[in-house]
Amino acid sequence: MLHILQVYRYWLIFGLVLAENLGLPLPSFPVLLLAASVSRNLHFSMAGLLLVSLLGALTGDMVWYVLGRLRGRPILRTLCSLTLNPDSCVSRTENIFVRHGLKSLLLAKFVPGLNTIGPPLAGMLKIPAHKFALYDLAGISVWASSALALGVIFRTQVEWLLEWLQDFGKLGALILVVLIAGWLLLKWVERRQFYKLLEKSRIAPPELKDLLARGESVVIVDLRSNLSYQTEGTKIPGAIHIPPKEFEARYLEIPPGRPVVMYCT
Amino acid sequence: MARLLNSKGYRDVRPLLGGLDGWLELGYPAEPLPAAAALVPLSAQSSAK
Repeated sequence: MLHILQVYRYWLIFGLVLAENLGLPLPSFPVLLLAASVSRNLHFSMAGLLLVSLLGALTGDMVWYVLGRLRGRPILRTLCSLTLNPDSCVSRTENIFVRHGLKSLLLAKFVPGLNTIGPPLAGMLKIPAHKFALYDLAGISVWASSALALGVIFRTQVEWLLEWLQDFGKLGALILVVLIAGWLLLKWVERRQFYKLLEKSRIAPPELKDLLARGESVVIVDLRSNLSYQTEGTKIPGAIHIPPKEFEARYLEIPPGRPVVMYCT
Repeated sequence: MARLLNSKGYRDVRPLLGGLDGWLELGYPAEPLPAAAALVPLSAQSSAK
């Protein structure tokens, strides 16, 4: 690892960060941390490391931003196709973004899932390119500088670990491979949890229809006001109508222990 | 309101994305209101008879 870092230097960091931001599952955070730890021996400058990570990540994100802008929803759908329910994945990520706006980009690099979906979503929502680049750069800076800072703080521990691995020779290489595999697994689990969280917050119409078709015991609550309820003349089959004004007094009509779906107009 | 229900011990509460309009736009089934609740204009009632 160190040898590769020594040969390719900044290009390695740039390539890793770029590839990860294009969507490949690569461990650029730990490698960046490692580079910061050994910066004295390998003559890396902190500013240089920060600069190449900024360039790499921004390039990758801009590619997705442009794709999102040109192709819109289908791109998001492709990204979301890893999940069980692409439709609701798209709409729910949109929700997060609409609620928190560009600020969600600041911490997006730390949220698996959001880091891949943020840029194409910003493109799809036609956020101006310079604004997106600014917030994205800020987010990348937070991410990259925390890796660098951790590397410097734990310099002695990292050096100790490297020596320890070297003592093991081939076994050391194996341990390293296991560590990297473990890291990737962790990220994969985190990403899945992110998608699960998205799945939970809201329900998309196709999903509800599926539930009903499967005969699940969903309670549907119609929250329209009396007026709009009566003028529309229809409701979702089986829905209980409770106008918002009476909700606090009448919520007990909703049978407990069953999944509840609420809707208004 | 979903939060109110959550605090009352209902665990799985989700708002429907897009509301009733989103549901109808997709051409999903809807049912007419129970007769008592339907507010049908008088003129429409008499002409129907």
